[in-house]
Amino acid sequence: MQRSDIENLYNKGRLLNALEALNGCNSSPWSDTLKLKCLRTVQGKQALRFAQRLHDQILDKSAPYSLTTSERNNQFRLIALVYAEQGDAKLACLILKPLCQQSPDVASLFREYAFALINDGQLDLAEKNVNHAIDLQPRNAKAHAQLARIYCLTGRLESGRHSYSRAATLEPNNTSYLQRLVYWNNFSDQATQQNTFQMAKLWAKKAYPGNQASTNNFSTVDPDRVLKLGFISPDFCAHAMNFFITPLLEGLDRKRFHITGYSDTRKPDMVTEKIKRLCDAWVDSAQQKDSQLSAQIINDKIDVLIDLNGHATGNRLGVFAHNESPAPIQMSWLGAPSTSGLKSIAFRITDRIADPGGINEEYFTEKLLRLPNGFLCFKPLTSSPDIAPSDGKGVVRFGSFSNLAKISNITLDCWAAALHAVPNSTLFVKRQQLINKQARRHFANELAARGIAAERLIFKASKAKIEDHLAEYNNIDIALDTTPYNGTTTTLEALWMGVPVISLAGETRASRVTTSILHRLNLSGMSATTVNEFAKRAAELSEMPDTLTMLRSKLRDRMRESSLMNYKQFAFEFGDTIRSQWHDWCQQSQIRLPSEADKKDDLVSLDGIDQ
Amino acid sequence: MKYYRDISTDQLAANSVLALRESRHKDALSMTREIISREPEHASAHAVQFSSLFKSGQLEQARQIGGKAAQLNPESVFILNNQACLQLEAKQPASAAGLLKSLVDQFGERGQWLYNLALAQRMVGNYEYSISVFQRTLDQQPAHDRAAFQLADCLRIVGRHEDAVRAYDYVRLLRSKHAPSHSNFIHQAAANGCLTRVDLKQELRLWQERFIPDQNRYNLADLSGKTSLRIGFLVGVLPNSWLLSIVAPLINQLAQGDDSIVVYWHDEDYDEGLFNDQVKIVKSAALSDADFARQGRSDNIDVIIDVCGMRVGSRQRTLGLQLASKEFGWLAHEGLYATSLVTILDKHLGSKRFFVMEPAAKTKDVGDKILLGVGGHRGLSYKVIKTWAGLLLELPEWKLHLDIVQPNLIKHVSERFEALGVSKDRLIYDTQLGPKYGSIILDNFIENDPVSAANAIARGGILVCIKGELFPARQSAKLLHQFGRDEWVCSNSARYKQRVINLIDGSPAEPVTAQEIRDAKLRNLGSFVMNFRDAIFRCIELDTNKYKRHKLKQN
Repeated sequence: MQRSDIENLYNKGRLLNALEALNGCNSSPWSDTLKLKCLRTVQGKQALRFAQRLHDQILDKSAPYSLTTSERNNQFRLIALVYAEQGDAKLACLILKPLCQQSPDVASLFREYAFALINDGQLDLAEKNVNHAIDLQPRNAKAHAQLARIYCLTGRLESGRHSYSRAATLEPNNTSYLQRLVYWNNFSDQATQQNTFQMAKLWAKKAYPGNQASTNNFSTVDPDRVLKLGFISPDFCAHAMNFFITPLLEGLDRKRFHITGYSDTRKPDMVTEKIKRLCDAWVDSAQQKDSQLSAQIINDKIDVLIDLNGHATGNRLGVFAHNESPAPIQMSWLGAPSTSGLKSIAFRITDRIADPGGINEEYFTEKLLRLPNGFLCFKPLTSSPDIAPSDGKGVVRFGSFSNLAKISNITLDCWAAALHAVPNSTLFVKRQQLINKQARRHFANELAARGIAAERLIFKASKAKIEDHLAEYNNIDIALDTTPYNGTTTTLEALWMGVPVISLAGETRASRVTTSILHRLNLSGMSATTVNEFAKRAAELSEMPDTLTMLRSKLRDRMRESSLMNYKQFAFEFGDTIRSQWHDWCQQSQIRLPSEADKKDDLVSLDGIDQ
Repeated sequence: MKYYRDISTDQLAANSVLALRESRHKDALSMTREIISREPEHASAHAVQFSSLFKSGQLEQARQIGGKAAQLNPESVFILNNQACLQLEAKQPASAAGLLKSLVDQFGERGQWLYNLALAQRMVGNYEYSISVFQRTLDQQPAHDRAAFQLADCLRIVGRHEDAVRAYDYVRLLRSKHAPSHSNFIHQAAANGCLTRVDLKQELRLWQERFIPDQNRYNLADLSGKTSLRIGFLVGVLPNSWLLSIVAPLINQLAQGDDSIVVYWHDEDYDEGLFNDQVKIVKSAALSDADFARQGRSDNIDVIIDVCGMRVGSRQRTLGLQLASKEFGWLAHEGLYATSLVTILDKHLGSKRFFVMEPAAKTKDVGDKILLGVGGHRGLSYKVIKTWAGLLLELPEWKLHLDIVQPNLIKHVSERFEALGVSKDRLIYDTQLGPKYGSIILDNFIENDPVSAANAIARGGILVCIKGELFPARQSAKLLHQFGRDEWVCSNSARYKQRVINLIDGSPAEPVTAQEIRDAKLRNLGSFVMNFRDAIFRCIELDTNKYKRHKLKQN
């Protein structure tokens, strides 16, 4: 095949055909570059192997591989991007840094370098480089979005939101920036539910203009048959999702349900294998486009399709919004703190504490289905470390291991109030991104403005194994939650390690998750409704060392005995709720189907009634 | 009419409907007139008559008979909706609101009806209701940009500043290519402490990139050697006290001298007595940027002084095209401009950068144990309320006097204090009261108000302020510098609170004396005008020298 034909295939998006054709070509700069581009999009792991081979080939001066400087630089850039995406960001940075020095006026190069630096966790340097890229090309939306990501990762959420907003106005047709705004709105204490709802609806309208309620009628109308459930997630791997999906999959009755996992995981691992074993069918969907995956789900005759990701990165809401709804019933669970904005997702699973009746309904396009004993079930790490006795030497040690973006202004108010209420206390904040100076400076300044001296703050930025991460809870007496986006995994981890959590409950689901969890442990008193109350709870608890010691030794058992870890009960309730919706759907379908088939007869009988 | 005499009313009614359907509006109208002359309460005839008038463009006549038509046809969507629109156009919002409410109640919520209903409610000043209806409009039609803008504006008016910032951000998402939408957001965000300095810089640079063309310089005359200038003042929507106490006195005084002064008035309302006869007034709110530039060129302006920034009516686009040879920003801006062509004049005014006219009305002294919060003319940011509420909670015997006048704002601010545990009876909104010697004045540290702060200091108040990051939050620090009271400036809210408590607990500060006020030249208009004019000439000279040096280098 000629070069132009292959390039044509690539330009038309027929990457697998292009790859096939390229495999028949001799190695040359253009074919290698194109091959790497194709592999990067469709086969990540192979792309990495090919990039490594190409990299060696370029560096090997004895090999007869002649490249112009521009070709060489282009290949280096592409190789670096593959490295950055596939887990070797450090090497990517080493390649891109000299290229940036050589070409200080090429904005795209600085963006790529910043991308590699972000993936390598060097956010300070990434910020510097992306700012340089913006200096060179102020109207580049991608650069503003990159800057936004850096801001969010380092806890400067409001600046991050402004940057995403700039990106969204620069490219109004690129709905992914709008979606980022919907997502990050959940973290902001300045966003109202109304605002998030509007934004989600705007996103849905722009991204999927014709989106309607599911019209899929292909399933057999039988209320009591085995139901085929499909779960979609990019996080079926060593991710917090594992702690919640595993107990459900273990508990669901296979005589009533058949489970298919649609895994968008780009880097499968041991956990992926474990989850795969718990499913009755498994589809690696990471390389499938929304339309392909949608067709696959229709083909698999899934009755109930469940989204686990909401608007978070890597979501597959596009599948749910597809013109031809892949499943008759579509719902969201777990990963979505706010509405999807899509009419095609009919339900959202929650509970009465996280979404109290009559408060939040109007801000969802979905109908809320409230499970009787909480919307989640937790299965902790089997290799969790032991709980050590408290050894604060008279100092009360508050702590938080939350995502830095969740540490909003109101969270800082709560924390500062707690520190003021307990003068002999310290605050231990642990997160990998705290390695960056900007993040540490931001939090130190914010807390200083609230009257908290730097000596009382301990920032730790270690990247640890999960067991070591859990062991760090032994250095905390009381965990302080974040709001308006509560911790979920962090709250459960703290409690599992015997550390009580104090939370501030708001009105949104995101700000009530910890309250829901605490309620199930009969610890509702640790959930406050005002900043002052938050501080009061912290003070009260810190003045009760016996209670703290008791909680440290008993919380784990209490969790084991609670509905939080009763996976059979949870799966029963979950299954029952789905079954009940299925019954409704069957009933509606039975009404609908005959009326379609026997339209004429219906008219006659109606006339009869009128007479 | 004679023609219809032999035709029955029912037949005429049927014919009139047919005529309306066939767009024979004249026929329909004459037939319906005949019917109404026979049966004044004939509902269908009124409906057809209204529709014919409306469709034939006779809107005023339609509106006049619309009330009756609506009354007789309470279920006609066409009549109710169009009559409501006509009432709105005729600035009769109350009756429009009634019709629209009836539409919504009868036929359910539709985006356009809701929007009109909200608009009508806004026009009658029912802001809270209109906010909820604009929100419902957006629930129905999330891309309804006018509803989004109106919502943002109402939120701003009732003092829900943080919500307003978000709402203006939403507007610019919908109107991504509309420069004023971006300006509105930037101003609101900067004035409410929602942007860092870096954020503001990014926003303005992007604004420049998107909305100011690279080339095109309108006016580049050499001003060196000139002894008198044609100065244009671009006045945006400013707080009344700033206009009366700073801007207008300066302009009037300048106009008495050698310079000719033109004021480009961007606010919709103009107070005729504000400027003296020597000042030429151009009401420019309705002018497009291009028309405004044309106007400026025809006025041969040498120096333009922007007293607007990114506020409503912002003209940064024309400033970016060099409307005048030398351009300055003064007092009302955000501290940075979207174009590097504008020089911030405030910096060049030196240490005597504030003049504030002595207020005409004297206030009574507040009582004991009352703190005075200043700068609340457009409400207060949540951060300020939070800090002040924190202080009141620590000082249970003290009350807080606020200089807020509008009932909407008072209601909202009181509710926010209450939510933070401060009851309404601890807040005083009496405009007759002012500080006494030694009163502690709490500065609105997000958006300073130099007028209120200066007047309070002049009456012996001790101003406690924070030096913020953006220009609107750095004015009070500069004001205190003018009085030689740099030590009163705090660096963060924790120190701010502590300072107040220390002042109360017995380490009092020395109020500014009358002599110090005189030395600071706060009330000396002549000196301020001279300083102001000197600063302009100094900057022109600096530019000329720079230009000469540049030329010299080139040669």
